[in-house]
Amino acid sequence: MADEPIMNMMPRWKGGWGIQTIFEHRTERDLLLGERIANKGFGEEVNIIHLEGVYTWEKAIRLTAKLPYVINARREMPAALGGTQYDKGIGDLTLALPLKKYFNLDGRSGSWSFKPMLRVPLSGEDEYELYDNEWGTGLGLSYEFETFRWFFFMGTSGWIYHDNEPFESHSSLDVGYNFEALGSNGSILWETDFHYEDDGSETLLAGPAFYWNIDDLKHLRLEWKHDFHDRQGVLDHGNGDTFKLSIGWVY
Amino acid sequence: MKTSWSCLAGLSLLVGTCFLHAAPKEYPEAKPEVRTKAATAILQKEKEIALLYVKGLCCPSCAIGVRSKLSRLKYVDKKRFKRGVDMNAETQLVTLALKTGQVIDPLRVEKEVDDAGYIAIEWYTFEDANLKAHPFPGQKP
Repeated sequence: MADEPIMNMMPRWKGGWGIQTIFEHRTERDLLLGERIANKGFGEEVNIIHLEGVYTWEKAIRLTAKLPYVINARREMPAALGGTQYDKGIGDLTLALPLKKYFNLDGRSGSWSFKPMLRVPLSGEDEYELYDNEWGTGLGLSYEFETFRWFFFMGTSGWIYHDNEPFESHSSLDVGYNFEALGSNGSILWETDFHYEDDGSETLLAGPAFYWNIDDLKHLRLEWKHDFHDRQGVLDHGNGDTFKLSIGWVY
Repeated sequence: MKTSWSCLAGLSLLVGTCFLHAAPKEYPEAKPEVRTKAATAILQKEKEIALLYVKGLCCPSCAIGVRSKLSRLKYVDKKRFKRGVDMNAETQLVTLALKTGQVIDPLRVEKEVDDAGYIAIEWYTFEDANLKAHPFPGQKP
């Protein structure tokens, strides 16, 4: 949720723009209440396409838009709570205005970011909804730097919704190793995310990611994250894995 | 429990960020003597080029804008290198392939590099068997 197109990096240049598509596959194995498995074997499976875009006015000012489309989502609930339910269709739009302060040192470059965000409710009325369908406002702060060989990112963001949804925060810590091969470059990363919601839900998920610069225009990213700690403040699914495949084009 | 988790995560991020930002700012691959040696080798090997030191250029993907902006300059020969621009993230040296008899416009090059998010520090020539550094206008005292 905290990631931004294109691959969190580009375009850094004035007048640059890009689009990115992400295919996300998520499976949750259990229905949790707190850390306790309330209903074992009641799973959830979700497939989403995220369409994202970015425009960089000045090198310090970007505008990003992220729109998810739920290809299909299916969750199993006890019969008394509706049984098996489905979701499909457009999700909520997220607009952000990342403001960046870059620094360039001898052998190290990076930025501090301040990111106001807006959530626009667009999701529909299915048997259940992956997205909240509520207006929300958020704020993100992050710091990142890169050397020839190493990449480091840490960031945190908070969201307040204008109706019933609880406050939520997302924090990330990413470390990467840069390599060169076949006349291009890439990174191998380890990413750790912590999600918290004011209803007592907490998820710590982490896993590897791989980024490859196909050429100046096309960029590829693969990632897998596993839930190492999951706690749901209200009855909800957890203990899962998330896979993402991203392709971005930048101009 | 919930509050302590959040406070711990927030505090770790804050302390970690300050610690890392204060970390040593020199890296072996970016030392001036390494860059000087690399610049000398490039200038002895390549003809009709301009060789620039672009500070901070250590991420090839983030620096795509440097190539994008510089390759549009009329005196850059796009048939050589990759669209006329070769970038080395290890030494932070950028090599521009120039059309025959052409020279760079330092003011314009400096602006394009700045728009791409980096700092053009100096460019190099090889004169009397010595490497000579020419600071870009914005870098002059």
